[in-house]
Amino acid sequence: MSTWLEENDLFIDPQRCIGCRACEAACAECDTHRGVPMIHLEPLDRAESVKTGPTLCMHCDDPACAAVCPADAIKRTDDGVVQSSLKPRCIGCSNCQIACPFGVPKVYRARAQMNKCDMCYDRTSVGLKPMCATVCPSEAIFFGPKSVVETQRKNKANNQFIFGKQKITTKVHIMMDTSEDPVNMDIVDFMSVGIEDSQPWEM
Amino acid sequence: MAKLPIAEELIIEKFGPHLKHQPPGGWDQAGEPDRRVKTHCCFCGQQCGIILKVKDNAVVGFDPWESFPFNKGKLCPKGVKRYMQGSHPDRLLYPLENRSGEGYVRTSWDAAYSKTVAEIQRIQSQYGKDSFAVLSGVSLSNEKSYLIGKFARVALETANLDYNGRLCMVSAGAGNKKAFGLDRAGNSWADLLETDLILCAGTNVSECAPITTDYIWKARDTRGAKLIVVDPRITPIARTADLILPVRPGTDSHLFNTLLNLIIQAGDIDENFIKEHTAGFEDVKKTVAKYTVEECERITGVPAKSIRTAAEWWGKAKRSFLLHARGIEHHTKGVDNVLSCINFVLATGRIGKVGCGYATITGQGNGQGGREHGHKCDQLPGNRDITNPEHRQYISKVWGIEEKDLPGKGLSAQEILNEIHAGKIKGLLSICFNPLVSLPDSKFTREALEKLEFYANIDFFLSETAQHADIILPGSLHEEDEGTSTSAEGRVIRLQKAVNPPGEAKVDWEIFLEIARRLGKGKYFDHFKNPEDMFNELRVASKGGTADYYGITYDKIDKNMGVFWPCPSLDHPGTPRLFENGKFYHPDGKAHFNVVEYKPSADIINEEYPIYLTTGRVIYQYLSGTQTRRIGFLSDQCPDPYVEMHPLLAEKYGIKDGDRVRITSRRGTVELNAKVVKTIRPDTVFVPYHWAGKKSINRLTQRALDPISKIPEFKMSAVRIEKVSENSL
Amino acid sequence: MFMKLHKEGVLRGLGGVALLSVLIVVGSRKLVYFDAALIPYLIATIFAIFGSIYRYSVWLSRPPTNILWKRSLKLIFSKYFFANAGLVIKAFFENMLLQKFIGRRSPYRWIMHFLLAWGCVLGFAVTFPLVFGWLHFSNPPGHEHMYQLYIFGFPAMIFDPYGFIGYAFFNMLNLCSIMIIIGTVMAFSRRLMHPGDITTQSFAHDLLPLLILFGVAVSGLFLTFSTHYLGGHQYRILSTIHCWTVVAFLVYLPFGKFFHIFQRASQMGAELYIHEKQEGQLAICPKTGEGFTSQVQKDDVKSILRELGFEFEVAHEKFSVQDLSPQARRQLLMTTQHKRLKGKFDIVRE
Repeated sequence: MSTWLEENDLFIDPQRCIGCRACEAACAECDTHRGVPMIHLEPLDRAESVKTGPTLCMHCDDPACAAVCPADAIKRTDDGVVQSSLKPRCIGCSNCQIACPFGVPKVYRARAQMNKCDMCYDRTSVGLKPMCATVCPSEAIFFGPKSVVETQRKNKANNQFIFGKQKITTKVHIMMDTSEDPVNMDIVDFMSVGIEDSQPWEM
Repeated sequence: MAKLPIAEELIIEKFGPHLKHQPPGGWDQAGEPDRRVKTHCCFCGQQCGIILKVKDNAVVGFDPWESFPFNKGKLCPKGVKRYMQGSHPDRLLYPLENRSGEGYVRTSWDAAYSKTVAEIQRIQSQYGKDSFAVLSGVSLSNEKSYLIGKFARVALETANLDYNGRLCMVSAGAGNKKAFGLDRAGNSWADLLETDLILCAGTNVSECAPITTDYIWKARDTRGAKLIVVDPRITPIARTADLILPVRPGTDSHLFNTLLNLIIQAGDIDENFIKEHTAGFEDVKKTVAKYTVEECERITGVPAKSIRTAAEWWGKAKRSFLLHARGIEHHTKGVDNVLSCINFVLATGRIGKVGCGYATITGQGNGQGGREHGHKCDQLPGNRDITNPEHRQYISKVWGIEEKDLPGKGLSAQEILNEIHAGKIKGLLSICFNPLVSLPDSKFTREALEKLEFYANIDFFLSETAQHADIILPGSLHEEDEGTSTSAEGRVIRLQKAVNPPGEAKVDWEIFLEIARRLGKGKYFDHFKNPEDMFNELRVASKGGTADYYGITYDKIDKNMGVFWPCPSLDHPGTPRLFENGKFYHPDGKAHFNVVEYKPSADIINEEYPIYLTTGRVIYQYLSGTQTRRIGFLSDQCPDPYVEMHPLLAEKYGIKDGDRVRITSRRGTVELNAKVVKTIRPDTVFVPYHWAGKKSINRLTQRALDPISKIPEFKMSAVRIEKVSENSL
Repeated sequence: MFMKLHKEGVLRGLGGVALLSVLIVVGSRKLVYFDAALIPYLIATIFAIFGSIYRYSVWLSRPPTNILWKRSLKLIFSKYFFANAGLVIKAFFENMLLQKFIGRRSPYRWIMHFLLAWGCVLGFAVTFPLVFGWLHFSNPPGHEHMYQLYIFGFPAMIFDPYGFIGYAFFNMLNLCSIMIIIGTVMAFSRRLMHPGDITTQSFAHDLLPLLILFGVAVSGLFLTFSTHYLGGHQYRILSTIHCWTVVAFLVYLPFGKFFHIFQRASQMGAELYIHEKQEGQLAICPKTGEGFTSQVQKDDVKSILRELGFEFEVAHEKFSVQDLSPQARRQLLMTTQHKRLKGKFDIVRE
């Protein structure tokens, strides 16, 4: 449908993130959901490190959120964008939030509504970059042709993830060490080992 | 007078800071804006391009300006939310008079001008011309900076004019002038993209110059450039750095002398360049020869191995770029620190070439342009020297006055406050400066303000300092006036007017013109009908100076999206990269090495005050917070200061994350919540400085100044800490 | 949707139609009081009823909807019957009748939606019984100036057609029309002015239903206008136009945006889940320690995912990413990247 969305992809590299929250500030300025940021920007473990990272919708090919929605309120467009909940349908039940393996949907209880990143459909459908990717000072969120990322960055764009036995393929790419093999999201290892930055001073 | 007329709580209730979370008309406001105005962000020296959406004379939102070459649409959260400062409930809309017991009472412009002019005349006739001082700021445009310089010298005839850039750029400026004969970043940021090794010294790029991150990351991406960060904290830019030199606060010059010594010993210097294009190397070489790695490790706390690695990388690099900022400059030896960095750069000859350079990162919006055009106590427009007879003669001619009537060198910002406290300066006019928050030793600053016989303040919000004024004149926001500004790169850019000042507020320059007129000096100012008139006079005034703007016009800026000075003629394209082919701006055409010896900081670490305190910014706040503490999103992210400390230090005092901690220096005490993190040296604590009153860390900092730049030593104070109470959450 | 005909849906739809037919025959006293002029309306209504029941059946058979239904019934008919039934009744009032949650999305939209929703519901409450012949009026003997209302052929109240009740009866549809017109104008102006809506709306889904509603309301109002002020001028053409707009509405009902009227009922189920999260046993994230949802709902979602063929579970265990809180899942991605890059900026650095 929209060639703009076919020519360009969204790439996330948390390792470049400086935690400034420009993405969050700008997300709330988007016309479809003014005042409500749909992106997450969080420190990983502030006591250990200043590491932060953005989470926006990965736009799965086969979205678990849509599959578990009792109101059939989450739709995926032909160009691969998983939309935020349809306002007339969403009942705010949180099933999507519980199902999403990436922790994306935000549910607003009072409004009985789920909001999540729709890749700034109001912008991307008219040939603009998503708001977060436009403002991000470190290009931790980058929107552009895959060829640019492939030639100009050392990290590799990967959009396949394994959770348990489930392979999830997404429209959004995460910059990793490899683009070939799917990324194993090892929750057992995650549970047992945290991150620790090296300490540059003599202790 | 100059005391608070009513209780502080009542002032805050009326004048804020209140938080504004929504644009005018609310989030749900429908419809297209009337206009989209291409202008710049006001919140730091990078001066990112931004488009403001205007509807019904209010800024209602923003759009990224993707074609502006510096930031290409990128913005930090301050940029995104900058538009929220407009249509703010705290905005000053009409002149106010401070009446004891009553508060700030609305008055007419005529009455406010009359009172101000009468008090200026009374004080100056009673105590002499210099007893009335002017304090200004570099969030103002070049035009206003120029106007205020002229206003103080010609209309007020006072020598005592200085500005808040005194807390920002002066160490770098003085160092640059000593070494290069000119005060500007050596390169445009484009050279960062072409370099192989970047050294960031005392600059929290990720929080204070966020867009610069993109340039550094791109150099790492495309050229595999290495990154070295010199900082007592692991800031976000340092986290993934290839090498961190976690320097102890106040020991930078020792580190750079040692590094220079190491590259000299390894033969990694450019002897040809040194011979052809520099002077004074031998003395420096002799001096640094005694700076050993072992001694350096002991003094700076940086592991010897890291020092050696840094010297090796720097020595062997083909291209390199050194960036520094307030971390090394806010010291009683700020100029020395800067010079030790420049020596380190000059010895390799890697300056003035593709991908080879040096720059200080300007912190304030127009820190660069503001200091060039004359509201600095020792400078005249065009970066001219107020003590140089030729320079004085030239500017006097441009201004149409006798050289003998041009006041001489005045006092610096902190010294002006000192003299007010000492009762020598009796009157003050200030704009765009909130010294009660930003100057060190705020108890002293408050006492000084209370001693003023008359104080007039021009501002858009009632800042903590403005609360002490007798007359408050409502001025203009960045987006309510047009003009030019000069970014950290030395790029002169255009600020476009988006809206008119609300209520009775006026654009700042009109206020100065009217006071000048009422002081009987109209003939020197009456030809200024708009900012462009001022800019055209500035062009002439700067002509032939080092910061030569003569060839820059509004049209040219618009066409080229900025012009880099020096630009001496109309057909000159501007100068993005300085010092090409080893040409420097001293009369001998050479760069000068300057001998620097490491000296300890002014405050002394001892058993009573065993911990280093360093202060700085957070990304969500700007300077004294007058604007950002009023913007909901920004303030929500960081509503209060905190004290950052390493778990090893915290453990020693039984402190846990979130506990209330008392920090005490030889000047004062504050209580803050602890943030226990592994990202800071275990002997150092960090506190951000953007807050007033009981939350102000500047109650603890000291008024010790660099002897040359007169910058206060914000980055190193000796303190002790103790736990007050447990985490209340 | 129609790739494979849903057998149960067809049966239920036909059942619904049959039941309606019986009710029409009985209610109109063997079609004595049935107005033949309303036959187009009747056909469209039958289509709408069949379509709606069919689609509702298909919808209910989707695993997530099905499980929500079953869970709702289980929670209602549990030992907390009174509490949970009370909750459902309260939710019905607040969410269905008052639509409070829309007000919290935007007060403007609440006014707009309230006018549209109640304009339609009241309109149906009057027209359907008339179309089906369930209501009719006559002059009671001896009270020629009065009207008597018959419901299902049984005589009910007698009222003065020029009194308040009469006025209300005969102007109810005009009131509904006015409510709908205001509502659609509000909706249109929003859709035409609001930059966010402009770029995301589609004609079929967002503008067409508004056009249909607007058409029904305006043509209906014109009928009244013609009767009262033009002496029936152009009445036949107007009534034909009105008829077609209503038919369009009824045909659109099961498949377009209006179907959300029926789907909205499941919000009561969501309320039960939310209540369960507040009162019941929480699912605790083993990483962050946060109770992020109710155990019941987490198990339901996991079983839906299993039923739909997702295999999130770590081998030989029941443990899956859905057992982590959303925050921990976001950390998982960050941590995985961090570890794979060995904490460095990019891959080739030592």
